[in-house]
Amino acid sequence: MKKSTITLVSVIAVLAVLFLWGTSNYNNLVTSREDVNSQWANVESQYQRRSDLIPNLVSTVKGYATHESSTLEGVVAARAKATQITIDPKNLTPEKLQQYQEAQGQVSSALGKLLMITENYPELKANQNFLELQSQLEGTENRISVERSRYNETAKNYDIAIKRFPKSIVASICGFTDKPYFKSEEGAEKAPSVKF
Amino acid sequence: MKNLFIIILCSFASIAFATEYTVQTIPNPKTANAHAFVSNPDGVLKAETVQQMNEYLDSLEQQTKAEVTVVAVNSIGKADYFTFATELFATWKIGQKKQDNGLLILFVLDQHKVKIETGYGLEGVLPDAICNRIRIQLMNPEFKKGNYDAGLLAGIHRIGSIIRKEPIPEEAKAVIPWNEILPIAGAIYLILAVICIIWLGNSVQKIKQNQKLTSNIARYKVLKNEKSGIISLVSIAVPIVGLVCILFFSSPIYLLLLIPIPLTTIPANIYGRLMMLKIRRAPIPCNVCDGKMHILSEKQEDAHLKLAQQFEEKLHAIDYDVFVCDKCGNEAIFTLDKPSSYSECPRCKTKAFILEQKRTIVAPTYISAGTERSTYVCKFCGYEENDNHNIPRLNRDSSGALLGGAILGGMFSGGGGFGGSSDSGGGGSFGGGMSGGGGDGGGW
Repeated sequence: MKKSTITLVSVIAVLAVLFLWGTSNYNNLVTSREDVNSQWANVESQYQRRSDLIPNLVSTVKGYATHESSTLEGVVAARAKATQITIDPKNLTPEKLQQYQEAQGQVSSALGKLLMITENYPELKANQNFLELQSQLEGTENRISVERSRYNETAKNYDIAIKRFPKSIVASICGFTDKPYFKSEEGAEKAPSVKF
Repeated sequence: MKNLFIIILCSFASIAFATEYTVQTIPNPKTANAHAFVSNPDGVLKAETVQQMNEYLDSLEQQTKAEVTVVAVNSIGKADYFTFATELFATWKIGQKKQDNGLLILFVLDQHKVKIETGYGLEGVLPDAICNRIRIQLMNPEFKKGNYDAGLLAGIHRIGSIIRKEPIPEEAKAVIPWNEILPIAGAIYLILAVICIIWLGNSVQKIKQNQKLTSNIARYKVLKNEKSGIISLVSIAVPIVGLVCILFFSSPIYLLLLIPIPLTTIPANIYGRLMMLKIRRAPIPCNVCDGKMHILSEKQEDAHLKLAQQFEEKLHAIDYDVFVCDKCGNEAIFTLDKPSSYSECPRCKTKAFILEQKRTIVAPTYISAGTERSTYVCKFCGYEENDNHNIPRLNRDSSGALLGGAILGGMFSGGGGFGGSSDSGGGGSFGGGMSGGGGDGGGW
């Protein structure tokens, strides 16, 4: 075989290997980015689930707690504000996530206040419909925290993947960017206090 | 050794004092027995209740594929039972993978808490409100009386009857991103095809310039060898390399991609055949005058060949190439032996001698050997030759048959192996499901 052909064949082989390596890395990164996006969708759908429960809850509470209109309005207003903020996972920035988290945090605290006042209405507490709504709300809050922590985990894995050495080359060429995390909310662990 | 001792000591200590379980220390019922669904390490539940539950949940799993698991412990310390249930669910992977049709009931005695954790796939069948109803109406009244067995059994039976009403979901199929893989595979095929042609073209050039190969036929033969070498190398070596890569990196379904690799040598094969013909038919210098000799077509060449040679060509035993000089009419005949079952006739030297029939004259018995006669005939001159040879005596020792029988038997009986371990009561595991914190829980 001539020397030139050997060089040609080996250059083609090296290019093919490089190409394959690049595509497999790229595909891995795309997969893990999609994981983050779909996990974000899970987070949003759990918040949506909570948001869907609110009208039912409010109308049930309204029937018993007639003097608590300001608290009820607070919940409705916070929900309305929170539903306006949706994030396209493709441009998930720290600022937007912060905004989203704050709006949903306000819904949480308004709901917390609502549940506190229901303690004063024994008839409401005996209502089967209310009890089930309450358990659904509790389940949803739990789901939200599970999905949020899973989101943080996937986002962390993705962020590590695009920063580690060989993949970071592909990531920087193809424009993969960091995904933000949920920060644990200040005072989120504590139930809101109600003063009388 | 010292470390080992400490580990053993610690494990004894943990058995003795650790009534506070963590997600890692709670014994998984599946490790001991694939048909167990209840983890009852502290004996909170009675043994017969556990057995009853296991039987019910096993039949539920066989009918609906849903894995319902019960964990009853004295204490999980100060851990939050909601988080604990979700983490335990994720650690054990309860439910079938992708279908996530698992359910975990976590019962914590000292906290007076019970959590029904539904997998993603059961959230629709058992929404939180239903779980809440089961807990409030069926479990809590019994728990308050201290009848933990009765409360859990009632809950499990209700959950089972709800799950049974649902249609069994179809098996989820793994998705392979063919639209991503196929273009890459296509590119590789193309590169292989190009490499084959370049390689072969290179060989053609080399053969043309090689001074040692004097005749067209010699060059033709070398090229033929070279071509089949390249093609078999590519269609054997490349799939082997691919096989190793695929087994190392990903799922075996990609092995299908190796099948078309031999097809990538087709262009090179066609090119090779064309070049072979061209080399064979190339004009050669005349050895008498300074003219050129050209090959004759199959029809024209018959005039220059003997009857025997024509006959050999007809039998496809030998190919004759006849070259005639343009100027002086000098002719040259080249022969190319073809692979065939004909050999040279001892009388007329034509390559038309062939085995016509084999006949057993004396059949072999267990006592004496037999004789077989092979008759060879020359198709051209009709010369016939017989060849007698012995057939070995029959043998009573049928070791061959025994061996074959043993192999067949081994293939079909398959006895005593480690076959279906998951069905035979050995260890097992849950299917690989996930939950997202769904379900319901509370105190009593």
